[in-house]
Amino acid sequence: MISARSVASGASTPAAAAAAEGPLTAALGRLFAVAEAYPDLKADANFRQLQEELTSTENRIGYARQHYNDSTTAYNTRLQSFPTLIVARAGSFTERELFDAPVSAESVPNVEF
Amino acid sequence: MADRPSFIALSRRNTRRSWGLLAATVVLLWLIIVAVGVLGFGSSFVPSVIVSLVIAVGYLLFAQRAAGRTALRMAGAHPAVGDEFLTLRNVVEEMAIAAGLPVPEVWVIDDAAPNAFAAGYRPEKAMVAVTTGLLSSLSRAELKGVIAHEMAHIRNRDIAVTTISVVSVSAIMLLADLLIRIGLYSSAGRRSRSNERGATIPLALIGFAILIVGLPLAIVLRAALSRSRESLADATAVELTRNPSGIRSALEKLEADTREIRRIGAGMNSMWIESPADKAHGPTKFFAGLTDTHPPIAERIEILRAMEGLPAGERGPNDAFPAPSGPVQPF
Repeated sequence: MISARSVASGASTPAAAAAAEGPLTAALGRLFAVAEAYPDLKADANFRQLQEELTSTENRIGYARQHYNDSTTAYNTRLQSFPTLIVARAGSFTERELFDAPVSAESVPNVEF
Repeated sequence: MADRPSFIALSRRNTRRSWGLLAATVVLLWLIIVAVGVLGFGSSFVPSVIVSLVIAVGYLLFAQRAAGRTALRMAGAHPAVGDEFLTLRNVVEEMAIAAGLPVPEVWVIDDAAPNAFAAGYRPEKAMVAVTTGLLSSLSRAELKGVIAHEMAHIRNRDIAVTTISVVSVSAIMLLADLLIRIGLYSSAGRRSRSNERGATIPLALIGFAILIVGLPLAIVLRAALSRSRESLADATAVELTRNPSGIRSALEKLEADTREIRRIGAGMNSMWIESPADKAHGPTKFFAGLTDTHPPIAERIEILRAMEGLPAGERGPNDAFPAPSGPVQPF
């Protein structure tokens, strides 16, 4: 899990980051699968708090990606539409790449205990 | 599926409408000032117009800076600290990330009536307040819908927009009041000196005319602007969460709950997600509908249902995620 994280944080392009985050999400999913087997753990207040924090972290990653993609789409659209395209051509602005998350990253790890 | 309204189309339409309404409010105020200047005073009124504009702008800036804190103090809010508000703080941070905004201050109001509002004229100094009743009655997804609606108000700078229209209305009111007082006060003295300015209409009459025609118009415009900002915030909430069912089922719960928040100040009505004052009458009354600050909650729910592709009328599942196909992607 730790090695998955260091690979993910070292990625420089959106495509590389998306590919690297897949194993990280899968590792988180396995952690919750392990917790499933321990009922005492599920009822524990600290674990519930951890669960909330992990859910929120997943959401934050998702919303950050969404915000990046929304902004990029708006930017790419303006590059191609009048009158902003004139400025875009003159300043040689180029299209940005969208952050396509792999299918495995879209499914939130199971945190329903 | 093809004619589901998308949040993008809804945002565009509402943005256009509210700019039109805002322009209409400002033009109305300007027309009134010009009419007073020309009819009542001739060109000598110009300096006073400038003075009054300076006062109006100054008041506007002050009101925007002070409004947030004042609203929180009036509502008896306290900061959301401690483990019990962990989910609330997380949801606010998630929505701040989705909106690309700094995280606002989070406040809690001890009140059983479920409601929420946003304050702060700049995104950097924004605040979000929710009642304890809201926290206890909504699920995480529904809470996220409500917070996204508030975040939308912050991102769309609705506090600034509403303040302009509120200040315009009070400026018109002040002007009318001033003219009536000046007119009535000076008319006794002027009669003896015969009519120096033959062409000028008695000031009191202009004042009354503003009060009868201008003020109601300004109030209706202000309410229409507020309603359009509310619809826009609902659309933006869907844009941020990508989940129309969260805000929709939250609104359904708010609609079903008849409790009203205890401590509200005058003029605060337009800030809440669900208007405390609009509840007082039925949605069918036309004239009351003109001055509502929020669209009827049933109408807001219907628009969100249409986004989900749910049939109109019947209740949808609470908390459900939308079907994975179609223009709305679940997250």
